[in-house]
Amino acid sequence: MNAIEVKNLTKYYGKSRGIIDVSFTVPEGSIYGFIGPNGAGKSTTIRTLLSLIHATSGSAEILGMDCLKDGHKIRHKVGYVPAEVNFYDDMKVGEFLKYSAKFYKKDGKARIKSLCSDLDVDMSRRISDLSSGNKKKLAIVQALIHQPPILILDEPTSGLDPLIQNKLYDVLREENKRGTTIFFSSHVLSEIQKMCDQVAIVKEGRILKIDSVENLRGSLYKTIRINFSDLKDMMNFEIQGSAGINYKDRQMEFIYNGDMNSLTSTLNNYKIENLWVEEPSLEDIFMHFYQKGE
Amino acid sequence: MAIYYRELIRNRTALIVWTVTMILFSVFLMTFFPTIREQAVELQKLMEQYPKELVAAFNFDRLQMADPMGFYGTQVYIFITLFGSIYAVLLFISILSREESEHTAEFLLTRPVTRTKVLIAKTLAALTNITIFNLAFGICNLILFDLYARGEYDVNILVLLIIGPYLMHLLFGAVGLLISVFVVKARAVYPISIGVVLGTYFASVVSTLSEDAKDLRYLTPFKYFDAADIVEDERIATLSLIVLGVALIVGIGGSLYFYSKKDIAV
Repeated sequence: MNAIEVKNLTKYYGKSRGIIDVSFTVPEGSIYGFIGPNGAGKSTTIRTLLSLIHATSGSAEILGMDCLKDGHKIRHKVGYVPAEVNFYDDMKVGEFLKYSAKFYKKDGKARIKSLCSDLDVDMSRRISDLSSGNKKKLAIVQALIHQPPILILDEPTSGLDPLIQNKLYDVLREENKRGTTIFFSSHVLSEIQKMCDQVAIVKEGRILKIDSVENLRGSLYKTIRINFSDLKDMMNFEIQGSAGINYKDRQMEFIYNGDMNSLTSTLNNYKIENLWVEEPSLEDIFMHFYQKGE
Repeated sequence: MAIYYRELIRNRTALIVWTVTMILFSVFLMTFFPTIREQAVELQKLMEQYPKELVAAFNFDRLQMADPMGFYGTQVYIFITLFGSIYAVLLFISILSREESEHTAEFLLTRPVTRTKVLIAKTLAALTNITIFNLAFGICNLILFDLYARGEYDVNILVLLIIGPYLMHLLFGAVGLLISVFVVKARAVYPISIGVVLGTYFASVVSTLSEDAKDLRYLTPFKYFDAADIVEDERIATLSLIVLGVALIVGIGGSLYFYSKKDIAV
């Protein structure tokens, strides 16, 4: 069974676009990246999965249950970290976590304690006094209390310092090892690269591409850097399949997804000083897609 | 159940402040009663100088201030219906709009409960609040009148005059609940609550002042639970109870329906 299955999901807010025809499948036990810039429709998709908003058309299922019809049953099995954390300001952290645990008919005292110490959350503080980073940590603890088989994380690392970010990655990996499916939305590519098996790229409300993280980083895409002896050569150099071209002094850098042989044979006609062929970061590939789309 | 208790705790301070203020105010009013009773004749003369319609608009034609039930009906009744109704509308409007304006709805509605259950638990909590409020106020007034005018009035009528405002609060509550689904902005809650109550009160005054606006009486809760009617008829009119029933069904049913379909804004 698939953990999450989204089919042709479309959401319009009145006339303005939310998402258009979004389809993807998250296999159980995977860490699935959901990436795109702000306003691409990541949160809209997630909020539809949690039935906070109602889709205009299309369907969404979690563990084979319809997100709208069986929403409350689904939410029993889902832990959710919102992009923007707003909890009850009048409550203390410990009090709030206890309240949250009550919904799952679990005491969770020991679990709360260990999560709070893992992520360095102070239970005695008032929620209104927490910084946005601390609120985020609280949101993460809250999402993990009932040990849900599915975690939906909307930009979980934004506002966290690098140390806590790494702790979060560790916690998530551990959860994943136990079989938890993680749906990880972000606009930071390096963490998707670090964490995910598969990734869906969204842009302007549509899915641009779905691929395994390995494939995206794999043989298709290379970062090429060339040092030319002659500036004129550099300006004349052109090849199919290049994108994101950058010039710096006599060095040219671009992402290449064409044939390697045609690159080397083309290079034969130029006098070059040095050549680098490197694994591009997902960030570069991502940029490349975006430029193509525009 | 967790939501219900949480809601009670959250509304506790407001309940205490409203209840204590209203009780103190009724104690304060009551201390005037002996003086008013002594000056009954002068007051009556004074009333005769005002236009008939105006006197009728405030029930001074049908109720005598010097009479305990007349005093309750023209003094205590007005402020408990006015202020109590504002409290009721505020309480019921905040049921949903507070969660949305403070963006905590996102937390609450991602818990494994249906929206129907959320709304019912919160409505029950608000009902509990308004019941405690009226119960405390009612008991206090039963004691006050026993102290100041024992044997001079029919206790059954006083009880009816205590139940009347309670039912009116419930009617306003039903209206507030329905508004609650649609009004999200926190700064709109107070103007709307006070506006609804004062607006309908004004409508009830106008409906007695002017023959042309007579039919307005069917639109305002203040006329369905009129103190003079209760004192004269010694009961609350069946029509009023039917209207209340319909309002509760429409308020609760409508809010459940619209809330289940609503998109929760970020």
